[in-house]
Formats: sequence, C-alpha cells, structure tokens
Amino acid sequence: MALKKEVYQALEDIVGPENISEEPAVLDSYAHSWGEEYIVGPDFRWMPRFEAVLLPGNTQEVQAIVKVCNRWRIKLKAHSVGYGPFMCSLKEGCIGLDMRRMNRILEINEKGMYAVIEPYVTGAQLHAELMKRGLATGMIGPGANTSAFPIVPASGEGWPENAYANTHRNQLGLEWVLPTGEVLRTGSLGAGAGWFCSEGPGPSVRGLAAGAGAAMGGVGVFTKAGVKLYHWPGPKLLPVAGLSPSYYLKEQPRFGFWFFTVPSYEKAADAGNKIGQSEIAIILQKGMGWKIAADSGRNMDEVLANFREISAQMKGRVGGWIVLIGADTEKEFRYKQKVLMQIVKDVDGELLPFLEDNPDVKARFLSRWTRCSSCDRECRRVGGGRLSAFMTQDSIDHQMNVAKVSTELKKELIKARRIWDDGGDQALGNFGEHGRVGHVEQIAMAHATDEGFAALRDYGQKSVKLMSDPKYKITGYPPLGWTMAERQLLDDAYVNWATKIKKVIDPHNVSESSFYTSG
Amino acid sequence: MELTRIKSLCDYIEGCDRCGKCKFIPSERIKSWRFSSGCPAISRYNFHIYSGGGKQNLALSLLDKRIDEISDSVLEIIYRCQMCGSCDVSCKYTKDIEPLEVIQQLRITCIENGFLNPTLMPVIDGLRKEDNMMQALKADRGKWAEGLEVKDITREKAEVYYHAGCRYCFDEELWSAARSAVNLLKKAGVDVGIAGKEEACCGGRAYEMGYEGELTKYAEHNTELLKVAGVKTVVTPCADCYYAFKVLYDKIGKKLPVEVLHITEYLARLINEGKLRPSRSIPMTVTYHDPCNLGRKGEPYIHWEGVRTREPTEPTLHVPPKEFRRGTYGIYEPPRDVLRSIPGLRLAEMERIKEYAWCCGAGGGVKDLYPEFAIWSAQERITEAEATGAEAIVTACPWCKRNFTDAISQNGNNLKVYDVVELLNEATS
Amino acid sequence: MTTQGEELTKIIGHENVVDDLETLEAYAKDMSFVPSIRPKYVARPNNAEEVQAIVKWANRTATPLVPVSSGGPHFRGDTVPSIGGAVIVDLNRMKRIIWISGRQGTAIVEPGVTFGELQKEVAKEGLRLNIPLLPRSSKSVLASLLEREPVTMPKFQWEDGDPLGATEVVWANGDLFRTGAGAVFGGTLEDAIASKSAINWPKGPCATDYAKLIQGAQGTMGIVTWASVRCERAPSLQEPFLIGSSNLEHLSEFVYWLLRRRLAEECLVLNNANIAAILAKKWPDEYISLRDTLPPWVFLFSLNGYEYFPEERIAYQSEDMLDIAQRVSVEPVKSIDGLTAHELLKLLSRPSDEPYWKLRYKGAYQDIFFLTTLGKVSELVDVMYQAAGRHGYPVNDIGVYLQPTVQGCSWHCEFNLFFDPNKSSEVSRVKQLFMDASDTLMARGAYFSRPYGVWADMVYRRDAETTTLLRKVKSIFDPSNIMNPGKLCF
Repeated sequence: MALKKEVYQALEDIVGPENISEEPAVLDSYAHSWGEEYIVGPDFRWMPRFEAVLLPGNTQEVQAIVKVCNRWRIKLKAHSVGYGPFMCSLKEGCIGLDMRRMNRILEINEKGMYAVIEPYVTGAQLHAELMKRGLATGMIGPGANTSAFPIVPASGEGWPENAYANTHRNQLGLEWVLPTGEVLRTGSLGAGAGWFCSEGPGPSVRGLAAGAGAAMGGVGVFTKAGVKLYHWPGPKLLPVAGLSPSYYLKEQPRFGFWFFTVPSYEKAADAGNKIGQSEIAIILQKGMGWKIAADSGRNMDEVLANFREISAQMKGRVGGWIVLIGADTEKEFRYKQKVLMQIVKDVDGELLPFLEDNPDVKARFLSRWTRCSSCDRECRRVGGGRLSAFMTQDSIDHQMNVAKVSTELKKELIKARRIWDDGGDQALGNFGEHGRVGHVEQIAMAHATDEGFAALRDYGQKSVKLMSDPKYKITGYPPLGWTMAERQLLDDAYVNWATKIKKVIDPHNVSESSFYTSG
Repeated sequence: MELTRIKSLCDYIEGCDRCGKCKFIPSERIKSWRFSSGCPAISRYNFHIYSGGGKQNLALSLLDKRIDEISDSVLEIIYRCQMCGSCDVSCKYTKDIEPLEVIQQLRITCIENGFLNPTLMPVIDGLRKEDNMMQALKADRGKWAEGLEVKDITREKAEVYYHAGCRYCFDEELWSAARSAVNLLKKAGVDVGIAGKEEACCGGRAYEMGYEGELTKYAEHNTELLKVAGVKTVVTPCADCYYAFKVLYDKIGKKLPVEVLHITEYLARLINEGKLRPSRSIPMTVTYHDPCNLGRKGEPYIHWEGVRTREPTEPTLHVPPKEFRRGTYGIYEPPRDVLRSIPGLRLAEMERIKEYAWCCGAGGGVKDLYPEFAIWSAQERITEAEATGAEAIVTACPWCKRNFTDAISQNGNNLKVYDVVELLNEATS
Repeated sequence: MTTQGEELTKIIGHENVVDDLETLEAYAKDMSFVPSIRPKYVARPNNAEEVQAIVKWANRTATPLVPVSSGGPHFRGDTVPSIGGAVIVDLNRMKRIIWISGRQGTAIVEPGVTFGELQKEVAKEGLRLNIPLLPRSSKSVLASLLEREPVTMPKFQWEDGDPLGATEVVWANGDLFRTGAGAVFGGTLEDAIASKSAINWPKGPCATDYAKLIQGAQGTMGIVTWASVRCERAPSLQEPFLIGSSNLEHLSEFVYWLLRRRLAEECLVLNNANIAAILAKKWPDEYISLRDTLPPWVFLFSLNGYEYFPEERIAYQSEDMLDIAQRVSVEPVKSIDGLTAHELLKLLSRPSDEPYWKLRYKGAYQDIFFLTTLGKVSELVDVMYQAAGRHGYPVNDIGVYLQPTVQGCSWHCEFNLFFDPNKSSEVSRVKQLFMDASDTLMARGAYFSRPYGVWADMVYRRDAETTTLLRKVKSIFDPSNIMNPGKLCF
C-alpha cells in the first residue's frame, strides 16, 4: 500500500527530497533486525515495510510530520539507533522516522548535573564528552553504540547502573511531540524553568512516556531529553591502547575489574547484596563463564576454547559477579578494593585464574567495561538466534532465584539438543542503585534456522509459565511485554489501561503501537 | 539475477543484527562526539542502507527475492561507498562476519548481471585500452620520470621495482612525490628500476568498482612483468597499488612471488639501517592520515577453506578455525616512524587513526562517480586535521593527497598537504 | 442521616461515618488560605475493599471524595474540599504495617501509618527511613511520599519520586490496581514476598509509570491503599558535621561537591531562624537569642559507615571532604555555639515533637516552596527577601530550608513565613507576601512542582500543553470527576 502522492509530497515538503525515501531497498533496511525469535508472524525474518522512511532534522519537522499523519490517518513510528525489532512496525501502512539527524548534544551543565540530548546521541558519544568534564551517566545493556536517550525500548537497565542508575531513572525534562501533534515539555521544562526536573507540576505526565519499559513508538515521538549526570572518577580521556579487536586500558590507576564465582546461588545473592550495599562499584554485573569467554576471544573458535578453560576453572560454581571499581583517590580505591576482597572471602568466592593470571586479558576487560563497549560478543557473534527470557526487574535475591530456575529449563532444552550448550546458567544482567534493584536475562542461543527459532520461542513460552506459577518462587514484577508470549499472559488490567491511555492521547491512532498495546 | 557470490556469504549476511557499530569507530576509541563517525556514506546520507549493516540488509533483500533487480537508486546506494573498510573493522570488533566482502561481492554481482554505472564506463574503457584508471594515454605514462636517471626494468634487471601507480603517473601536480621517492631510494643505494610507459595499472581500483576480471588480468600481467625483470621486491608509493599487490592478488590466488612493500615501509627500513639519515630540520606540526588501503585494509590476506559447522548444541564454528582480518596488522607505524625520524617535525595525531581512521573520500570509485561526496568526505578529514593544530596533513597515498588538495582548493583552507616521502626527501636533501 | 449517609454506613459501618458539625468543621478548613467548604460526611474505611466500595459508590452517586491520610493540622489546602457535598475519606484507620524486610530494605504501609510508628518498626530490622525534615507527628508516611516531599538524604534519591516504591491504588473509577513492583505477575503480594521480591521498584508496570500519575496528584486520581517505602540501612558509625556560613554561594559549592562525590548522606541547609525555631524551648527570648547568635546559614551533613570497615570508609571520606572544604573555603566543625552536629542530626532524624516546630514561633505559618538548580538558589533567596521587604515582613523572621534533592540534581527551596493567626494585620501581610513572592519567584524561574491551592492556577496558566494532557489523563482515571475536584487544573 504505497503512500498517496499528495501525502508523500506533503512529507517531502517537510524534510526535503533527500530525507525521505520509498525505495524498496531502503525500506527493507528498516524491516529487519535481530529478534526474529521474538516475533511470531508469517515471515520470521522480515517485518512489514514502512511505506516511507523519513529523516527529520528537528522538532518542528517532527511536529509537522505528525500533523500530516493525523490529517491523513497514517501511522508513524520513530526510532533512534534501531537496534532491535521494536523499531519496526508489525503492521503495514506505517511510515518510519529514523531520528539519525537528531543526534546533537545540546548542553552539558556540570553544576546542574544534567545534559540535554537528542535521540540519536549514542552512549559512547555522550560518555566521551562527559568524561572530559569529569561526568558520566547510565548506559543501557546493549552497549555504548546504542542511544543514550533516557527512554529506550529496554527497561533502561545497563552496565554502570550500580552507580549511575537505570537510564529511565535519569530522565529529566522531556520534549515530546504528542501523537496529536502538540509539543509537550514536561516538568520544569514546561514551566520554563529548565531541564532539571521531570516531575509535575502536580502529577507527572512523563508517566505516560515510559514505565518499566518504553512505549516503543506508541505515544508519539520524543525529540529532546534532559539526562541526569553523575560524577566520573576517571580521567578525561581513557588511555586505551592496542589495535582492534584487542583494545586494552593501559595502566589505569584507581580502576579495577574483577570476576568471581561462589559455591551457591544463596552466596551469590549475599555477595551481590554486600557489594551493592557497600557502594564500592560502578558496575555490579551478574555474568558467567560465557560472558568472560566471549570477551576474551578474537573469534568464536577462541571463544569456545576459552570457555572450556574457564568452565574448568569455575568447577561448577555459580554466580558469577563482575565488578568494576573506580575511585577519585588512592585511599578510596584501596578501601573499595579491600572491601571487595573481604566480601569475596566472606562468601567463599573465588577469583577467576583466567583473568587474574593474565593481566593483558584483564586490561582488555577493563577497557571494555569502562566504555561499556561489549555487548553482543556473547550472543550474536556469528549469527544465530538468541532469546533473553525471564526478564523481570527485582532484588538480587529474587534474580538469583530466577537464575537458578531458568538454568533448569535451559538444561532441559540443551539435553534435547535444541539450543546451544553454554553450560546452562548464563544469566546475565546488571544491578543498580547500589544493589537495590536489577535484572538478569537468561540467554539461550540457537542457530538461525526454523528449528532454532522454534526452540527459542518455546523457551520463551515456557519461561513465562514458570514466572507465572508461584510454585517456582520467581513470581514477581511483570515482564516488559516484549515477547508475544509475555504479552499474551499479561493481566488484562494493564492492557486495558494502556488501551484507554492510548485512545485518549492518540485519538486518531497514528502512533504505531504494535509493541505498546497490541500486536 | 545471478546471486551465487552473495549466497555463499549468506551466513555472514544473516549474522548482521543491526547493532549500528558499522556507523561509528569502535566505542572504546571514541574521544568526542564530533569525530565519532567511521562511515562516510551513512554520515552523509543517513539512511541505514548506506551503512555497512544496511548493505548486508540489501544483500539479504536480494537473497530473499524481496528485490529482484538492481534499480538505479539501488546501484547508487551500492556505489556511494568508498569501500574504505571502516564498517568492517568496527563490526569485526565484536563479530565474526564479513561486511566489506559482502559489499565487494555485491559490486561484482552488479557488474556480472549487467548493472553498470555509465559514469564509470569511460574509466573502465580507458583501463582496458590504455592500462590506466586516469583516462589518459598509455604512451604518456612514463613522463613523470623524465630526467630521473633510473633503470627501466623492461630493459635491465633491478632488485627493486618501483611501481608509481596510475594517479602518480598522470597527475602532474603530484609528480614531485613520485620522483622524491625514487630519489630517496637511489640516495640509499637501492638498486631500483621503474617500468615507465610499460607500467600498467594494478587493477585494484577497478576490482573495487566490481570489475574482478580486470584485477585478474593485471595480476597476471604484473606477475609476468616482475618475473621477466627478475625483481625481488616491488615497492609502491600508492596505497591502492599496495593493497592490490599485497592483498588482492593473493585473494584471487595470484600472490606475487616477490616481497611487496609500501614506500613508507621501505623508507623506514632504510632509515633504520642507517642508509638514509634525515638531518635537515623541518619545524612543523603535522598530522598523519592513514590511507585505508595501506592501513586497515593493508593487512595480509588470510586464506581460509573449510566448513562451517552446524552442530545443534554449538555455535557455528569454522573448521579449521578462521582467522578474520580485522585491521590489526595494517601498516600504521612505518609511515609514523619515517615522520618521527625527521628533525623538528612534530606529529599530532587526529582522533580517528590507524584501523579506525576516517577515509579521505576518494576510494571505491567515488572520486569518479560522486565527486561532491568525495570532497565532502575529504573536508570532514581536513576539519579533523585542523582540530589537532597541525599545519599540514601528511599521507601516503596519491589518491588521498589529490582528494585533500581538491577539497582545500574548493573550500579554501590554509592546511598544507604532503606525502610522507616529500617531507623525508626535504629532510635528507 | 441522608440516603447517602445510609449507603455509606452499609459499606463501612455506622460508627465510621461521621457527620457531626464539629468534625465536619475540622475538615472544612486548614491552616492555609484556601476557602473553607464543609464536607457532607467523613468516612473512615478500614481496608482496600471498603475504599473500593466507597469509590464505586461515589461514581454511582456523583459524590466528590477527598482522601486524607494524615492527622491534622493540615497546611496546604489539598485536604479541604473545593466543592460542596464532598465526602472526606479519612484513611487513618488503615494503620497496618504490612511487611518490613531488612534484607530488601522495604516497608509496606497503609495510609494511616506515621513516621514515628514506622521508624520504630524498621529500626528493629536494621533500617532507617529517608524522612522529610521534621514531619509532624500525625503525618502519614504514605501521604508524604505521594506529595513528593523532599527527603533529608538526597544521596539515596535517584529520582524525584523516591523513596516511594510500589503502590496499591483504587483508581477514581473504582478499579483496583497495583503500580511498580506491586504488579505481581502471576501471583499475589504474598507470592512475591515468598519469591524474595523487594517490592520497591516504582516503575511501570510495562510502558506506563502509573505511580507518577498518582504522586503529586493531591488525591485527584485515586486513593492509595498501601505503598512500599524504600528504606535505608542504619549505619554502624556516623560522623556528622556542621558548617556555619554567611556565604550561601560557598556553602552551596561545598554541598554540590559533597553530593557529586557521594560523600554525604544526611545533607541539608537551614537558616538561623529555622534552627532557632527547631531548637528553642523558651519563646520568644531563647528563639531570638539563638537566631541572632547562629550563623546565617548552617549546613548539616553526615558521613556514615556500615558493615565493612566503617572507620576506614569514614576516614577516606573525611579526607576527601576536607579537601573539598579547603578548596571552597568552608570549615566543617563538630559544633557551633554549643550546638553539636550529633545533637542536631539526632533531632532531625525523627518527627517533630509537639507542638509542630513551625507553629511554635507564632502559631501559624505559610510555606513557599519550589524546586530550582544550584545556580539559582542564592538568586531566588534574594528574590524572596526583596519581596519580604516590599511587604514589610522582617527578613530575619523568614525561615529558610534548602534541601538538595535527587542527589543534588535539584534543590528544594522553602521559605517559612511565620505569623500570628489572631492578628489580622499579620495574616493579611503574609497573604499578600505569599501571592507576590510566589508570582515573582515563578517569573524568575522557580519551579513550583507541587502546586497547592492558589499556586495551581498560577502554574497551569504557564503550561498549556501539560494542562491539556493532564486533563485528558484525569478523564481516563476519573471519568466522573469525583476525586477531589477543583484541585490542580481539574
């Protein structure tokens, strides 16, 4: 269903001819991403094409586009970096807004501890600019190449959230083009007082923009946001050395990286709680042997070889915890390191010889974790499907239970030779706000074949059943509703309210909401 | 359409998960927002399809028959790309796939299926008729060396063959660099010869435009030339030629049976051996631009033949293991060593260097096809060079030098452009 | 009793429906300047089911409801009906502390639980509350959280809504709902507790942050029947300090770095008038003496140690803190004019003694408070003083409370205007000053994020888009407009 000529013309008049395309090849490049295993549809690989893709350059253009869509009842869906199936539409008749041209860092206010950015600013870009000023902010799990915008499809959890919070929590003033075409500025921004506060006046309408997850296109287009900043104890420029893919951090005083395992999930929970509460870490990340192996090998063959070595060293122990510490002073660093080592001892933890005996390897990890540049090495290195399941957000204790229970499910599928044998427990995730909350994803991987994707979808379905059965004691906070399986089992209450909200703020239903209220 | 070439790369194509790393330099290397991009095409044109990942997607569209022919706009998308390899390095920082090779095979596929760029046809016709990429007469090829008093390897034997390359041979403004190199070799006592008007194109640029046949032809021609001349080493001042001789010929199974060096490698060696002693001070701050074909693409070719396993419980493995080319072993230090050996010269590095350098803009046929895009890319690099406070940008490739010079001339700028050999020549005079 | 009253009685029992004049008069006004409107009844439910039944009844009968959680006196006008015929839903009978987990750092409370009551219980689990400044003894913890009152340990406040966690709410249309981690998937709250859930994550569920629509809403969206509070661990070692200063800029700079480096936990600035008001036992002499002796500004902060090597932690933090102090020319001390840091910290770590501290000086007060940034604090303090000057209100009578919030990202600025309610000249002066100062401050960039009473009109006039959207939100959750109508922009 191509756009009517007058509609295309109206849109072209807004963005200019070089910023709009309905060339099929161009449209296809927005119809495919990872995540086929999440999507159940007639064609697992491809989503419906957008009718056209536009590259707006500023808020006025976005607003004009939204108004055209309202006038002509065309659906629209905006995305920034576009790393994930949520950038696509599950239905036809939609135009896509690629926010790539809105990629500016508009302000960094050191005294106010906030930055103002557009949607396409990446974590790596923002971090580079912030470091120069002794600042930092959160970064989501998919890594530094993804958007730094504080509303992202994921839950906002990510690497340095132990010290720098979940990115959704870092959202300050927001500039938002509503589905009806008005430009709303939230909180203090709307009051003309600046970017510093996202709440109010009175109740906070930003509550409609995102919750545990984001609306993924369902509530209009966000064009600018204030992002809360934190103190960065490192240098203005990290002394990264080496050549790709083996960058490493040259002697970096007052920064340290450790990985350790423990004998039981209970001890793992204790360890996580103690490290969190002691406020020593920038990154407090649950990871396992596969994660370490994936980041230590130059290619998949090396990765597997390393994995076997690491697994042998781990001796069936669990956990594990990845900890990054950074400090302003030598005294502070020694204190934090001392606390960590004491905690490791208290929980019968063991550091991994693979890292401890290889300072060169450790230096590479330090570089990657400091810049949060490593995400997909562990899962999609050479194609293949991957599904993260059991995605809840809760206490460390709760999540360690999740790791335990989900491992058993994975082992069944491994035994049945349907998914890759990664040892079973590869629950991976970050814990935030000094250990108060966090999230593990139990990753399963399979080949990118019909059978592989079917196995992963099975895994997803079964995970939801386990999470919703109190007998397994991992009931808790509901999932984000990413997967079809999850959304099918969501309580009606949530779906109903989301639908009501949608009807009111988007009366013409122009904001594509496949991942918000339907699909 | 005949799609065998990209079908054989299907696994790699499917391995692209749209992470977007191909658009930027590796995250750990990003020092500022301003100089964080790696890919000129996506930086300029913004639609995802222009990126390395976007072109993997395009290949997938073709394989899945969602697109069944290469329209003019698709052809344009494929060719608005300098084949610089930035996407390849950034991607392979975390993945084991082959973005650049897929783009290369897409181009060859275009040619083989008759989807040709009219603008390139005179260039290729010229190559076929006159053995050069400059639409110039073969008979004029040797003019750059007039008065040089250097051996002609078509008439006498020499240990080292100096291959100037098409750009140096026919771009008179650049002759001084080509001549400087020969002077330096002679000064160092190297037994060097040239082929003069009998020199032929390396075939590398044509290959990158999709003309694989031309690469094969010139690989064979040049192998024969060297065999007859009995040289042991071929040295070239052109990064494109270096890439062709060192990497591409090997790739197509026609590895040259001689040592292949870029002029900067050879000069660095000579300095190290004490055969060249730069003594004249050049008090200037310069920045060095890594040519793509000498740097990240210049690392030796690694052949791999084997199978990719599909055990249900294991990730895909290469059997035997495959070593991927990730830009690690490009030629980065020798040009820098040469510059560092020059008294008074201060080297200030740009933010994007070595395997993650920004492209000069001239490669992949872009200089011929989309000159404004080539200039745009060059200007981006010039801005980056200026940000270092350098008075000059120094490179090791005539295509880079030409493109920078053109951009400066068009946009107005005080930055000077040199080749490494020019500065060394001055320092040893 | 009318039919309405009888219907209410059927829901919550006769003894819990009050309509005597004295009681109704008590709810008809508060100590703010909002007009007095008497409610029809006061209903006192005991649990969520009764609350839900009341709300559904209110929808059926188009009866306005005004939820009240705290005991009096009230000061902001939000608990006074704006419209006749309203029923006060007094939640004070709902006083259960449903759950406390020391390990998870969570307490779940019903609306009637006060700070004093909760503090005592959480202390048994090794926890402490991140409390506002000296809340009155009858103040509901839940109400304070819903009002987004600033807390005295900004280090633990990651977002403006903290430390509110999850909630159970009866929406204005009568639906029962749970926000944040309360939205247990596939089970009950008890199942979640058994799963070792912390039940204190505030966001969601899914793509809407429902709690954000309830916080700051002054009871216009629904009635919260329980809330989880994120508690902090009690330190094993505390090292509080004071800084007295006449230079607010230097002081602010120090506070900024302390928070940026995450060194201080308790952290607040009071002016001499407020410290005097808090400390004085004899009025007015001791108050005046204290006020005139203390430095103009006093900053209280504490470095704390916990389980692991608390002395070493405090040692390095002290060193870093002193380094910062030296750089910005302030001098942290252990006591000022006989007032020790420990003493003040202890005093400010619990609710106010009776009478409520703000009432002690003159018997009444009116607060002006807003949010701003570090860079504007001094400027806006001056604006306030200038406004006071215009109305002849003695500047040294103004109590000032400056509270960094959200880890220093913003600052709560509060001016306490004390007055004698029996002197009409003082009442009139404060009224006029209140209006003038509020208007001027707003124009100068002060952000009134909690628009009580007359502020609502002033605030929403300035932000048409937000107002429009809020009204749409209101229409979703309260289609019959029965929940505290007339408040905010509704």
